[in-house]
Amino acid sequence: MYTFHNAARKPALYPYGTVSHFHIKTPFGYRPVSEFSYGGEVRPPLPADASDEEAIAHLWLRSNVAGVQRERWFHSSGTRRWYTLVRDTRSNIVLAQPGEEYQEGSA
Amino acid sequence: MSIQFEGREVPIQPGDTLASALYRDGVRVFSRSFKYHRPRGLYCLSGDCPNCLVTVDGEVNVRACMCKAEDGQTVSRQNAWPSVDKDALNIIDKGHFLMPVGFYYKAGIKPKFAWPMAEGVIRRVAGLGFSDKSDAPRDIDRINRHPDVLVIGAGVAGLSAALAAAEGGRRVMVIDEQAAPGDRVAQGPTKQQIDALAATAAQNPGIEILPGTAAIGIYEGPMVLALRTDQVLHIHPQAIVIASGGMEIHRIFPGNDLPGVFMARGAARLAGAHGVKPGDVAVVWAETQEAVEHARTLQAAGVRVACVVTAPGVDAQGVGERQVEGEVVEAKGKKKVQGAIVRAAGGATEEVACDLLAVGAEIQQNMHLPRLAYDLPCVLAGDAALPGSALDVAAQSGTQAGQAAAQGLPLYVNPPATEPRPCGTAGYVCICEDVSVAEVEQAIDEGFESAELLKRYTTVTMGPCQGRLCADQLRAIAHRKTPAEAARVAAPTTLRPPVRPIKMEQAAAGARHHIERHTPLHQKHLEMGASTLWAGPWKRIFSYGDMQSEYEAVRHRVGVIDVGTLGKFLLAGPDVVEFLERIYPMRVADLEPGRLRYGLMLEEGGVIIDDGTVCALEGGAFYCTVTTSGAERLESWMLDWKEAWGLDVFVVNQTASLAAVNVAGPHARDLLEKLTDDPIDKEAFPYLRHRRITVNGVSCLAIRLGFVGELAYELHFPAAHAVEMWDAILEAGKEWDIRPFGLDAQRLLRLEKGHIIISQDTDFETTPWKVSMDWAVKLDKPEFVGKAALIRAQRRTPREMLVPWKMDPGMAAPPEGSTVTIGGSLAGRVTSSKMSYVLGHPVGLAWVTSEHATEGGTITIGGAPATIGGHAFYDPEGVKLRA
Amino acid sequence: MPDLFEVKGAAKVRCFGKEAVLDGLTQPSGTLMGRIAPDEVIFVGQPGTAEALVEDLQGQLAPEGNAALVVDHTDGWTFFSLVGEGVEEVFAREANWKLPESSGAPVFTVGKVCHVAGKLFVRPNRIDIMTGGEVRAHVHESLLHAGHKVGMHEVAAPAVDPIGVGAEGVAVS
Repeated sequence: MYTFHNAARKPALYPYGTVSHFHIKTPFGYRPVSEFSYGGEVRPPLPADASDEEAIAHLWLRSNVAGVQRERWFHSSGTRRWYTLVRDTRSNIVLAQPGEEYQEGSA
Repeated sequence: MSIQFEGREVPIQPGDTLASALYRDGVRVFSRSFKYHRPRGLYCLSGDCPNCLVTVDGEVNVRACMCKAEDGQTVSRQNAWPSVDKDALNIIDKGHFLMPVGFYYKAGIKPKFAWPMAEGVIRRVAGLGFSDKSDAPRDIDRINRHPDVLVIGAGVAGLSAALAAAEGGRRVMVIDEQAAPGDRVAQGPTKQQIDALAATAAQNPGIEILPGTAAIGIYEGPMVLALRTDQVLHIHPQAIVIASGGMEIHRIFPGNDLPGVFMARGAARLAGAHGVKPGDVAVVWAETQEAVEHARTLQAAGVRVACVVTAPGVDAQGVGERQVEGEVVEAKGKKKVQGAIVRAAGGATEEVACDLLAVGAEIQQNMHLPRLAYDLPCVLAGDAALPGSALDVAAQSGTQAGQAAAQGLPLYVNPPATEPRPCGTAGYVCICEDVSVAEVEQAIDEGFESAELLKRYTTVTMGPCQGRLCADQLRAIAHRKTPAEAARVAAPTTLRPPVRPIKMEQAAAGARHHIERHTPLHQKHLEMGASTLWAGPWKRIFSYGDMQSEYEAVRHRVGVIDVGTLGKFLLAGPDVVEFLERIYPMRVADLEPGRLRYGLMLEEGGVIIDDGTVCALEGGAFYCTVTTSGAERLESWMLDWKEAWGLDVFVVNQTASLAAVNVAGPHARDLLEKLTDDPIDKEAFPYLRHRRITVNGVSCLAIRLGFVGELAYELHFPAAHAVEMWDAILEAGKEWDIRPFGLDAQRLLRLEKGHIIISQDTDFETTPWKVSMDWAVKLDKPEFVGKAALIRAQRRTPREMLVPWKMDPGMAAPPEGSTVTIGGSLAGRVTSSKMSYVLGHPVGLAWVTSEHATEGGTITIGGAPATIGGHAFYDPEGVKLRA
Repeated sequence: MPDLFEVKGAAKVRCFGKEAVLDGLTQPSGTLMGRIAPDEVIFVGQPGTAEALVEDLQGQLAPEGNAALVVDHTDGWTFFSLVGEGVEEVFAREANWKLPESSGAPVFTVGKVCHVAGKLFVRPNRIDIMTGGEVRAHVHESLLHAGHKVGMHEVAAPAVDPIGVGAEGVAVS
């Protein structure tokens, strides 16, 4: 069975809109994102000596990039495990599926 | 065979659609238009225009040209009074200048009563069919399909693509709106080729052809939504070939919407595929060579083709009585076509008498599905890719598309918008919504210059055709009026699915109402007359009919509650102690087997997100409970932290595999001693301990907690034994008149003890400091979630504190949510409030500004005075819990 | 036409541990095996065999000490079986993803079924669906509703070998 999830394909900015439904690779195959709960962007933990401002930023602020983001998804309807992947938030193309290495510059 | 049509019988022949059968019987006016009630006749015969919408067997807005005629159907026309043939409401057309586009934005505003009256009238006279509101929605079958390649359209290109893709080893599904491939094609080379291809495809085991299946939307996934008569398909292909064909452009000229004006393909269809003469004397406007073939088909059917009007380059030698190079500029007639005004290339005009004007305009791609397929693995074939191309070109493009689909397609990108073709200066642009060129131009003069604004203001493209006929024309008119700014005013308008009308019951096919989670005792509770309520995704028991007697049973005798909805987790593994020490703000490491502790769960900001108990089991494992609505979320939350810390721990969600019931009241021990031989007296089994005991023959984890303030044993055991355990407890409790109790009673019981309920008494800012639970936090622990935030929070006094309060006997319990005032100023709000039966006065919890939140202080709730209490009002020493 | 039956009390045992350790487990005979995750595997056996299964697996995992865990989850999940020709037609009405193909041995997979999380064993003409016990009523009703469209009947589970492992138990891919 072949798949159109061609990681080598370069995403472009589409003038008419973007895909909002994508697939995440699990040990049981590619699954629609609707089977998952979003776990937010991956961020480094707050260091113990952080200032108040850094703590507030850590709790309440997110980068929310329009671009390449490393993020977490929980497969609530299936394996019930966490997956980390890299996705371009503008095009919803998954640049690195869980377990794959993300190549800088492949975006 | 026959159908019933407006009170008379109309014969039907095999292969008839309702349109062909009715036309053969002499029906010429098929509907009255949406707004002006203009008479409308057959036009496209391909299901794209609104003219032939009829009511069939009670179902409204059925396209007569697409609906197979079947013996016994009842058919009637729509939107006219008293009849479609003699529609009195046509008077609106005479007064059309009073109701230009958007008139309802300007008229009927003053006086105020004018609009509701006008709206009522407009709703009655405008529109299409009337649906029967008493009709209940049917349960429509919805099914998912997963072909490798989906081909939309079973014409020459589509079938060629299917065969090529199947040859490439893919599983192919072909869908087509028509009842059979080639159904709407007149006899001729095209039909022959379709029939041949369809026969070959039918033999191929890798190809499935689904006729009568219309693709009405393409979504991300990709997912193609398709409708059949009684079924909705969600098709999930890997690649899509769109071979949905093309259609003639809707030419605009005065009289272009009269009955008798046909698209040439439609007239040929009627004559060639159904054998029905569309008229006696025809003028054929042949912009394309294809149209000349249609003229031939009409002639062969016995129509006298008086004149063929050709565009430059079209050869009509030998067809029709005369050939004129030029164009048709007007159709004349009152309720039907009586003549066509032809302007020859030189400029001379003449009127040619006819009762049929077949407009063979340039072919445009059916642009709906291609425009929805952007960013998806899709390729176009046939007329959809190269409109108006010859048969062999179409077949070849189909084959290439099929091969590409079999190998894996790149994502489809919409081609850049081309300039719209020039459009006529007078006539009906949008025949769905009755909008003429003049009205569009007037709207532009009012300032709605761009196609997107015009679309919204005039409603052009918003009717059943969804722009198939009129989208390009709208752009052309906008461009013509503002030629210097094509990019701004004439960009293609946004297209959204569905591209054909869909009924609400079809859209709802496969959807589900709320999913209820039940404990194994749910049925039992219902049999006992319980009322339920939602607790997160669970249904819990509110009461069994008499809250006060349930409550009194617990306070004075014994009661039992089903707490099976609680989240239950088994935690084990080499790092389990370290894990729990970090997850919980209180100490866990010092709990020996048999001991338990109440545990808050905090998130990184120090805010309480849940609470429950932690029991230390034999063998180094722990058993943790959390609130009903928390379990699902906390499982993923704990697994996330486990990964973040890299700890070797197992988190096993046992919420559904274990049932749990709580036996509470002064006689709880007496009752249980009837069911167990294990020692459960105060010495063997003190408060805040858990023991493994056998109750009614079932091994249980028994936990002594104090949520409701009485002696209580909470039993956790395998869910398969739930019903027998419940029955045994009720039986054993009979001697004390045991009552099962629900959440209504439980809420009062816990409130008398000042116990909080997360998210009722707490909110997204509540730290343990604000609810006086400092005792539940051990800041000297090295690390736990929320520690840093709690230390920071300690630097300031909280703005408000949660405090228990009471009122004097004889007062009514204020509603939950009431405001708290002190000296006339706002000082907080009530989160819980109930009348306490045992104490004889109202009690509750409230947020109060810190400086006033002292025991003994007075506050005002809803105008009535209340006193702030200490911790619990009932049994403050906790003697009963510790019995 | 397919049939639906429920195997009440089918033994279900979850084992947790390191990936390599679980790889090395010997599947107890007469069970279906499902590898949910690198660190979790489930074994499904006939009703009434849970205790024996737990003992077997605890014995196999004893050398791991507390680095492995065996939990009886029999009551936590339901076990519905769709059996006979046309089971895919029932499934296609309650899930929007494609079933894996099975040449004979049961294939284990997970995903959303009847709008809830499900674990499935797929074989030719048989699909076993396990979902949380708390949604048993909903799943039952959904399967009946979907099966109604294809003439499915609900029947009693077979008295012998209801989970369909045959005389010697079936190895799973």
